[in-house]
Amino acid sequence: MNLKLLARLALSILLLSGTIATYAQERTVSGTVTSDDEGVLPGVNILVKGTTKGTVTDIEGNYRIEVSGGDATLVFSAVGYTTTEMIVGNQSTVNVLMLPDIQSLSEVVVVGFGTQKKADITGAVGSISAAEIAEKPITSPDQILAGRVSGVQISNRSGDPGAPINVRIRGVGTAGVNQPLWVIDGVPIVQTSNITVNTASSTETNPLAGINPNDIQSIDVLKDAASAAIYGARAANGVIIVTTKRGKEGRTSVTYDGYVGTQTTPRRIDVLNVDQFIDLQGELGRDLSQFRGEPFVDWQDAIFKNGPMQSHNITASGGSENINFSVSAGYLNQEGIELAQGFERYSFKANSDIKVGKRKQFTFGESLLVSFIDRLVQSEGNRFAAFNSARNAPYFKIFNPDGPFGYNPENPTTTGGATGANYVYRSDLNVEETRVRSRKVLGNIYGQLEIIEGLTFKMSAGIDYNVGDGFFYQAPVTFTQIEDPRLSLLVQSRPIELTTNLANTLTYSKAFGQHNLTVLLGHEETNFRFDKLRVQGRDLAFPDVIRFGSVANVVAAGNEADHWALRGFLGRVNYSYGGKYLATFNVRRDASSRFSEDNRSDIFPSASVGWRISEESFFPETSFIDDLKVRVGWGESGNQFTGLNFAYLSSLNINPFYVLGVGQNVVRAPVPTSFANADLRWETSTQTDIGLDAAFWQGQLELTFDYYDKVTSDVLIGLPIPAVSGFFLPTDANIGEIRNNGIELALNYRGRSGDLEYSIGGNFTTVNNEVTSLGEITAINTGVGGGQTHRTVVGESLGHFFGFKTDGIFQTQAEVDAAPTDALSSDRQPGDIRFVDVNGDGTVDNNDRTLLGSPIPDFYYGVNLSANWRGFDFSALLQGVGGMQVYNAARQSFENLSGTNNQSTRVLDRWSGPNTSNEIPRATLDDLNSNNRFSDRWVEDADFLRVRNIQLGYTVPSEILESLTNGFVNNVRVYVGAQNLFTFTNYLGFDPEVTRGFSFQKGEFPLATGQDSGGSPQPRIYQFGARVTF
Amino acid sequence: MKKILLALTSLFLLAQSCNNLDLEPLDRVTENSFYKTKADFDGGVFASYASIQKFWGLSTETLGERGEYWKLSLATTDDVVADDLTADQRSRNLDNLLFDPFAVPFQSLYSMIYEGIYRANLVIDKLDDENELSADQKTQLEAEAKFLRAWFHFQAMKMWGTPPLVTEVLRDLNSLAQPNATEDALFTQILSDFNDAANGLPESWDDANLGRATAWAAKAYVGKVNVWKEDWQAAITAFEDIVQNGPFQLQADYVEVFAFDNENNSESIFEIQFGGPFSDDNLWVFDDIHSEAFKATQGIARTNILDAGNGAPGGKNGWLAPSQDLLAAYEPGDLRREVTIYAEGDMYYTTTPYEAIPYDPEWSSSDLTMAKYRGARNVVPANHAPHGQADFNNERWLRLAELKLLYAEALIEEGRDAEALTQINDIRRRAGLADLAAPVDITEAMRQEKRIELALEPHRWFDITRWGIGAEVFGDRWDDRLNLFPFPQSEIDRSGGTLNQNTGY
Repeated sequence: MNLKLLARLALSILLLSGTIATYAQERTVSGTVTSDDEGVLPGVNILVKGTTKGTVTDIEGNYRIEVSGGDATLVFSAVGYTTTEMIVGNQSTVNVLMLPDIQSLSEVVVVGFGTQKKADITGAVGSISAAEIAEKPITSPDQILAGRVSGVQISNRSGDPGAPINVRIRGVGTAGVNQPLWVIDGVPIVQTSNITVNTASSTETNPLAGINPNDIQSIDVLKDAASAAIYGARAANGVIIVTTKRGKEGRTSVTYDGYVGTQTTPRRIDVLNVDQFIDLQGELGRDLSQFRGEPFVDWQDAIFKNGPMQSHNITASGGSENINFSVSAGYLNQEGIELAQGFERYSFKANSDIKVGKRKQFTFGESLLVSFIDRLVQSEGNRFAAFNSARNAPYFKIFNPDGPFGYNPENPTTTGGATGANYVYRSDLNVEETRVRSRKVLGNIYGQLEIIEGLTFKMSAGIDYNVGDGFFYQAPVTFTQIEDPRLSLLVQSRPIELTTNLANTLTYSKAFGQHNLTVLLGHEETNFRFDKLRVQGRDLAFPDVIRFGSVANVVAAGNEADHWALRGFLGRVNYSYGGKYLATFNVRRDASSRFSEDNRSDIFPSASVGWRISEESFFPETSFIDDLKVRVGWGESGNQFTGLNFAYLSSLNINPFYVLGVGQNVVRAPVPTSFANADLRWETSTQTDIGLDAAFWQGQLELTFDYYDKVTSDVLIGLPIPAVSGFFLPTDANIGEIRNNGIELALNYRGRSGDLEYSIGGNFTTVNNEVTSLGEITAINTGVGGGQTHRTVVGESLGHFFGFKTDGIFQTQAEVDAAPTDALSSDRQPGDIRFVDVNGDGTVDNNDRTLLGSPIPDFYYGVNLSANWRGFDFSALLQGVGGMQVYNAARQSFENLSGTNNQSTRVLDRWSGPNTSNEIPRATLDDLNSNNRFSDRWVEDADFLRVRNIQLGYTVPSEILESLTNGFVNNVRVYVGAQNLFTFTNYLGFDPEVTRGFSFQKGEFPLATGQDSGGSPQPRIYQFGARVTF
Repeated sequence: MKKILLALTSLFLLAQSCNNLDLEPLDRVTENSFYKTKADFDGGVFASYASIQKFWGLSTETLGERGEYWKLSLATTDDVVADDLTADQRSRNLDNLLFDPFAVPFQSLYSMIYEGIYRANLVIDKLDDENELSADQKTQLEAEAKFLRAWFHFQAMKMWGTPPLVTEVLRDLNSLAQPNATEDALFTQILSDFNDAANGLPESWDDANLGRATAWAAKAYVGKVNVWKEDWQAAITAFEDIVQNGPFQLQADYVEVFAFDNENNSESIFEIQFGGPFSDDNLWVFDDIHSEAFKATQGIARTNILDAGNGAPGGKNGWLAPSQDLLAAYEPGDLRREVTIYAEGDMYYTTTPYEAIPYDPEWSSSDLTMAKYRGARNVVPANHAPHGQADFNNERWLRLAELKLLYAEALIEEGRDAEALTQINDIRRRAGLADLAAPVDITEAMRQEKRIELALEPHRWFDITRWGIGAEVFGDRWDDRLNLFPFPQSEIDRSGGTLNQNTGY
């Protein structure tokens, strides 16, 4: 916000206020004016109601004014904020929190390659301000999106800090990469999983984890094609524009922001005690009675822990008329709630803008983010430690004075042959250590020249440079104490990614009478290059030198490399007439190296119009409606992200080998290992949006409604092809069409009652996801790790659960005999599951598999509450998801009733005779009926409502601060908060918020998602923090 | 103003100058630039052989394979049990004759077979393009590729009966699925390919190329396929030629057949090559579909999967173990028993450290552990990866002893029992057993001899199904649908109705 303008406006309001007599018996009232999004507010006009007496807040938001009498009322006003009246009473300090103006019509929204006033926006854009981001216990900026913006849903792959997060804008539009494009200070971010150290999906790390949320000023979400199409080939999943904090004109201020917290585990699985376990194993024919009387070992208790968390940020910013700057440094340390998890980040940010020239016609500036992350993840050998260790025989001990390092070894003596893997031992960093480290440099410089009035040229060059350092070490230890120690192993991977981005734009703005016109022409080019060296060696000679120099034997090296490039020409016209009729047209032509020359380029147009009905002369001035706008938009955008680069070109994998000759020499055997699809082309998403923005009762109630209809055609699918083709791996193909449609509703009510200011906001989104075409393909069956758990067919949602339906349990032999034959069963007895002959052909076989649910939610919502009362502030965010199912693969293990692993206490209700249970089958060693096959037993409703965040804060009155610190400290807020305090759900696992299941292949797996492999639940975080401005 | 425009224009042109979108892969070779030299084509053929290595492969990728071919060919039989405590569910299901079309073993083997076929077809396909090959080289490469194509099709046929026949590279994404081929079409193509291979391949290879298929191996397969076809006369013709004129001879001592220091020996007709140490990571052999650039071993995880588990030293899995039924089938004094099976009283050889200790029956639920490819001649450091979990000994896929028993079978079918008995007695003599003399139940004698001679090699299951003796062997547990494996459900699903499932699944 332009402070000079503010001050000038405030002054004019003051002068226009007229004159009224003054009173005697004057006394001084002082205070600080703040707002949620800007912090302290300078230039706020303060008027003693009914007088001409007024003042303006200084640069720190402080004011001092003389009032007389006990019934004086102060009127606070500023452009962009709701005018607020405060009764002074006998207070000498009156602090005010200014609420943003009705619908924040003057608020500026960042759109692609420019900004627009919110009132003029014709697309569907959601925004989040700094106040909603700061001081929350989150690791990466995507986490803030939960429940805050309609149309946007996030889900965490795991509760351990730094794990990947799925961000979904308006459903699931593609079978490939669904993440929206993040543009951070003008640099489009290429999100990859290249910085993982091993191939396991559990070590994948959120590519946005290097961005410190505290550095963010605003997040603008471009949801529909009309607003996102300017990003053409990468806009199909929506665009998220992040603007970091920049300095403002005024005195330099220094702010410290920090908190400490602790994280706890919200939920555990009840498992069998020693007797119950031994009884069950006895039923299965395994005699473990020698362990009777042994104490119960709570393995979950041993793995789960309270994880401390702390964050410290210091920001200095300021500026003059011609120069502003902002620099900051941040530190975050968040341990996991399980052993061998943790996340640490150092981040630095600096930016400035400088205006030069006689007319200040030349502006240049830069933005630089540098960060170092060090994420400790559970290794392959101790992944999902809490879940996996809960599977241990409950008598299996953790410690043993005679064992290696004092841990209990894993052998038939200690386990009796039952499951026993010492995850506490395996989680010891002296035994296994996996770290994903990454250094990020994200920088952008720009120069802008106003050639003539209204005509501006801007050139912007950015880089995103990531150097990863994956580290995996296995110490030479024995787990069984029977075999000799395994050989030590060291793996390091060194991925380097460089994205360069260059954008040139020419903008012309002109007003002719009632006509307002802005034309933008531009060119953008992006190059991505990646190179990853992976080195592996065993048998390190010096345990203290965990470096390859220590490796005695073979060192194996691998190298992956990739590159692609994108070239775009873009244009936009914004036109408005009288502030009533609004129109925006975008067009972008993109060409990508990821497709063959014939299919390389495409044009992505969009158009949107808006009508501000409330500005019409016929609109009743006296109406309770202050603002009413309807919007209609249509546009196309693209997606270039095939699973494999150069998927259109047949190429040979150079890694295969064979062995030959008397000397048994290893010889090369290069061969194509994926099917090349020469016809591969862009995926195109066409979206229509009809929206309505309204404000009522002086902006007390604001409403935004959107209907969206998004159709993705030529969907990029990692298509599992018949193995008869000679290929194992799926091929990239453009198959069919997916439709996502639904409504979004956002409501916000602000109110005041005496000193209490409060607001209640809510947003609600529905998603109807349907595959409307698959071309010539009838069905796509998928699952992680080669599973067959999900299907995609026309008429249903993408990647829904597909398996057998159950109908209780056979209670008697007569029921077994009467049932249709079952091709997957080689023997059935009472107590086994009855699978349903869905197609009624008299036999249960694979043709009886049916739809069991969908991992794509039907709806999701968020509720925001906030209140302020005499320096106290309270906020709460609730987030919920509904109409969603999850494949609880972890429970499949806890209830298999045949294995040697411990089971959940649910199996105590297992079938043990006629009518003893119709849900949990009998225990059976060989499970000849395949009771555990993929069926509706394992697909659960996973609706949840989560109290995502609660915070209670107190802002210290400014005169106290002033007297205590002599003006040195300007503003102090202290707060306590809790993240994920409660989760209401019927889901039986650790956490209903899951994404993909575990496998050794990376990525999102949209065709087979919603699988719980036993990852960490979202931690419950208790937080205490302070913000101090000097 | 002009200066500014000039500056803008030059900036714009600068931006355009590096506008190359014709990028090529950085860590792969394009198909168009390959298949020019003899070495390129040899590599193409080796890739097809490499698909056979993967029958026993371990992978953390895609399906999570864990030595699936052992499970399919051994756990299914009466000779082997899946250990109740340690074995994975896949082995236990197969041991229980629970053939689930979803099961990884079927999907995994099906995929590897057709991968091998594709790789062979690709070589044949590329021979016709412009390249540096001489006519002789082309003939030889084509013969070798056809050998492999026929070999893979034959394996598919033994498992699924009427699997698809693929004789060209499938390049149309919309018609990749292939229908079931008829038995006739399969036999015709397989025999034609093996005959072409017999004509085009050398009788032997030089030292550097030892281990590649020979003309004699192709001829042996002509005989073996004809046994499956029950064209006994054709089988006899082929076998007779090999036994009389071929370079093969039985090893004097059974233990020599499988010894690590005796790879590609004179009894061996076709052998799958393993070797190492090559990579540091010597267990995960699916090098070519790994999602990271990754050089995997050329070893095999026999020791990891089959050596004794249950607390035996060495930290192995012991998933599959010989059955007591198999042990009982040995005649007293059979020298082959201790080469094949570890039992109480034997010395057990283990890795890390390499030592011999008395065998403890507690290590196995059947009280027995597999000894073939193990024992003193194999449990040596040179045969193992440094961590002791993988070994490098080749798999003797087809050897003269099997061929002689196939020959005997064909002779029996033609009523030439006396000649058949000679072949059987050759095998018995080496095993330290007395000759059989007429009158005997010659069929029963041949079957018994084959079971013992080839015990724990991947042949028993396919004899049970071919001979139709499932009910005899398994009793009530048998169902005739088991004579064929189910096609992988994934393949049925992906074929969109083109491929039909075998009856009963």
